[in-house]
Amino acid sequence: MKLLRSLSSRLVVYWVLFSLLAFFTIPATVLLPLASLGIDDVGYVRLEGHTVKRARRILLNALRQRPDGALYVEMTDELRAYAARNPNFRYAAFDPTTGAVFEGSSRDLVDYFSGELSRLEMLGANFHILDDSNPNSRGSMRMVQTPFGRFGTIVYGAQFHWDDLAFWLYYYPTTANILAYIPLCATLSLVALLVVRKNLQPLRSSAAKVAEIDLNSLDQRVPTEGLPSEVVPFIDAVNTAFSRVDDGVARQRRFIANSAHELRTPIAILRSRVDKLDEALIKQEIKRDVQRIQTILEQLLVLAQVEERGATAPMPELDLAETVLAVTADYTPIALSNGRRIAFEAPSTPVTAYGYKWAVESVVTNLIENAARAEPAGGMVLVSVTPDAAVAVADHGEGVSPAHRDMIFEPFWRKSETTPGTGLGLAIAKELIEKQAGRIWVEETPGGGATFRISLKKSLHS
Amino acid sequence: MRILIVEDQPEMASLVAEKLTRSGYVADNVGTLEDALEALKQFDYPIILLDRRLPDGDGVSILQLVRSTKPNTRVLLVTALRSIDERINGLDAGADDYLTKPFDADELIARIRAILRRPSAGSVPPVSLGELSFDLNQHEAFVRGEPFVISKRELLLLEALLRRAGRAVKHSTLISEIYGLDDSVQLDALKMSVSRLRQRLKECCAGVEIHTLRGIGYLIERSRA
Repeated sequence: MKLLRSLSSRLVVYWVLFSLLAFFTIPATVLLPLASLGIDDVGYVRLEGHTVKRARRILLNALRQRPDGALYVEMTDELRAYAARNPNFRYAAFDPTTGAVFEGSSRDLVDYFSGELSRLEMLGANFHILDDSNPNSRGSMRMVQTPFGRFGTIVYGAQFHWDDLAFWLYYYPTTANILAYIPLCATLSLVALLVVRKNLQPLRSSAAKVAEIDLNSLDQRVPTEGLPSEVVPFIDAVNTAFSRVDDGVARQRRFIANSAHELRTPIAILRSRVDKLDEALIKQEIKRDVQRIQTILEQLLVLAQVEERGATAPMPELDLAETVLAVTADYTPIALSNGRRIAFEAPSTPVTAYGYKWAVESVVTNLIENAARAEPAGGMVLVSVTPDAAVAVADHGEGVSPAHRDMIFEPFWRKSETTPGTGLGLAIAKELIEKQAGRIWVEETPGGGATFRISLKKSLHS
Repeated sequence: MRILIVEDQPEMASLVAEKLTRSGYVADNVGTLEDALEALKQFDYPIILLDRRLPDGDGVSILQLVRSTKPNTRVLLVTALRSIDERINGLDAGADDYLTKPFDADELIARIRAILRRPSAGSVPPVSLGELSFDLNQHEAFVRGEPFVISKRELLLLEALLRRAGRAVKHSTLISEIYGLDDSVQLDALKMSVSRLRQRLKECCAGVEIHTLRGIGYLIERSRA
């Protein structure tokens, strides 16, 4: 059925199959009922009139030629059997020019016509013999062209039997009938093709619309205007599916936001407890870990909020240098207590960009945390803001090999089974930055190490 | 100085109270807005730490009332309800400042000191760090109880750093607090002051250290062994 994948080809194939069936059973479905009921029976043909074709065929089958060239009708088995079923059946074959009746056929049948033959060239006639007691008896006289030459045939008095129907059907596909069927078939196939193609055209634009919809545009729906009503329920179902997905995604986002909210208090408590610990290396490490958990939590929360807000409100402007400076300053004590320094560089004039302050804060915090962990003891992480609304966080650690530079932004990516992964941090960071029409990537720090860069959309006011 | 903590999570409340006590404050804790209003009737708290998600409502809802009945009381909103929309974070509602949970204990103290720096009743407890202690009311410094004599600019610098001890203090903040204006031309003057202050602290074995944070500012903390 691979060929029949297309709706128009299916339509055409089924149309041809069933129209063939319908067209070539017309003798049974149309002609027989009409003739038996006498409806539209212009020539008073009746059922008996239709049997003459078979009778003539049997007669022609029984024609033989003697060695001297004379034709005669032989009593074949077929003719005998037919005559036995039709007691009033008579038949004749004759030469129209001489009026000679072929041996083995009824002279009296020819006599009915002999008076006319001198004046008319008889081509064919249906008739009823007046003194026949059966008013439905029909006969037919016809000139035929056979391999033996042209001569006249007359059959009369055959009755209708149901098996005559099979004969009708068998001889129905004549050249004329086949020729009549071909233009009908071609026209309707063409109509089927065009109608299907034209009416499913809007479905292509619907498909294009569906293809556009992603997690950020789940509120959009596929229009059903101009679509055939058969397809509308499908599109409606697709739209309802989108609604359900949209609801589900909204629920998930609310869940993430609520979870993040709820986790803040325990983390706040944890943080306070850690602050109470005596100064020790372990305290600094735990503090740093708590900070990481908090950063991821903040990012999840911001992401949920940006996703909720992003579709409706335009992005605000922020002072990028000031924002990055604030988070850098906030992280400094942790870095210092872990034996790393952080430096900040920014142009003296303000750098403004489009973005959510909190989102930029959490992403930059994340990058500084990663850099501070990668930075060798005693080293300095450089955080810089440039006038083109870009932020760079450079460390002097192992760096990220070129092969991994895209992969590190995948959720839960890790270099090997043994190294701790970057977890969700960079994946959420990437999503957050992209939601703010920005870009995040990693390069090599000159002299070794990783430099993470963020580029945001520069505000026109700066 | 007494501080009212309005926080319904007992663990959180006691940890904050402990940190405040260690920094020389007296902390009272209530868990609901109703109790908070009652406590405010009993005592003129110079500052309250107000949580937002409380059993009987949002802390923001009593801000107007506090503002009108206790004009001298400063409110620091402590919220887990941070939003990308800054207006929702509480400053618009009339709070003096807001702090997002989870916060750093040093940050909390620095914020409290920053709020109290504005004219208000009550005496602020001294800041102690290493061998150094600083009286924020009289603006005097001591090392092991002995007066620590430095120039006025350096004293202002030391105070600005100590208020936010353990936190990075930005250049801009220091310049505006010392020179009274925000001007980057003063950056060199600031560097000189820091250098002199370091020298004096070292001479007196004050047990504190000022870190230079390139491009950011300075940070004062207890010297490490």
